[in-house]
Amino acid sequence: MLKQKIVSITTSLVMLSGLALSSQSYASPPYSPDLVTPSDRWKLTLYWDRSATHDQIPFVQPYLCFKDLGADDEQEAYKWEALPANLGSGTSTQEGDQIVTNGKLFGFNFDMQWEIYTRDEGAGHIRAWHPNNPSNGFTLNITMKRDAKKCK
Amino acid sequence: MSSAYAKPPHKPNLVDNGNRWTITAYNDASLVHRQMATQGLCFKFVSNVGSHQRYTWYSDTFPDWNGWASQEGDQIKMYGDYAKDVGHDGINWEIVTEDRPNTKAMGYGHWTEWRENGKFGVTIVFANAKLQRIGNCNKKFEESSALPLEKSDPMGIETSEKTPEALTTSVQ
Repeated sequence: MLKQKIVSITTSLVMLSGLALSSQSYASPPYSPDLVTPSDRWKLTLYWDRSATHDQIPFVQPYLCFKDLGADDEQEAYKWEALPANLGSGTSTQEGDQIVTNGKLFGFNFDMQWEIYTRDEGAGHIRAWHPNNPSNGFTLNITMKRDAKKCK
Repeated sequence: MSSAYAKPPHKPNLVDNGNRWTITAYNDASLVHRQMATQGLCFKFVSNVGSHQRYTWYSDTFPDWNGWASQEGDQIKMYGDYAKDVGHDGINWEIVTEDRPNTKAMGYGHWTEWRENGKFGVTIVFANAKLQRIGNCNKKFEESSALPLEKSDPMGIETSEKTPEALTTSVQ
């Protein structure tokens, strides 16, 4: 019995040391810049990618408020709520400067892939579709700009 | 077959609504993406090559800095040389925002700058880039080589400011 316990404890220690070593063997969070420092509030602006002039979609510039959920292996995990909150919500992951954001906004499901270029600006693409008609989606360019104000 | 791939004209392009853009570097290795130099770029359309629109470009703020650009869709790939072709730049970016005469279209991407040293090269900076259309160029290409040299490299850092990696590779 005692021998079994010693073997079990030794095995656990070996596994723990292996985990500790592997956690240092690749890039891992925290990443900087991130989505919450110095402010957690970002303004989303949308542009028709199919337009020859990339026309901006007027009157649609929601704020997204991010909350850091901590590291998940190589990624930093977040959840977000739109401002005002009833516009939508979802999740985000960050790996390096690359962000994947998805959820529901204005009644549309969406998947958004973007990158932080300056400390407070990012850009990328969004694919959005209505839940009742998923085959009839659309692709837009997007910019994200960190707001000086923080979310409450 | 001709309709099997995207082909020019690609819009927005680099010259309609103004052929002058600014490019600003942000050090990608910096934890705050520290802002670096801003330079002016002038584009001239040359021809279509297969699925690409091809341009030449030169800087109207940094002397003797020029090269080629190629556009496919919204994606732009650029290369160029400076310092008597010992210094080099590669820039990959994409036109993102609205592009009308009064909107100053913006694009984002990555900008790498290095110098030759006969070995691995000297890294100036691996940077992020933000580009913005700001009008039309007044300076001609022929005038660009006579611009004053204010910094040693277009990204705007002196030798003393170079990254440890740059200093390391420069002495190998």
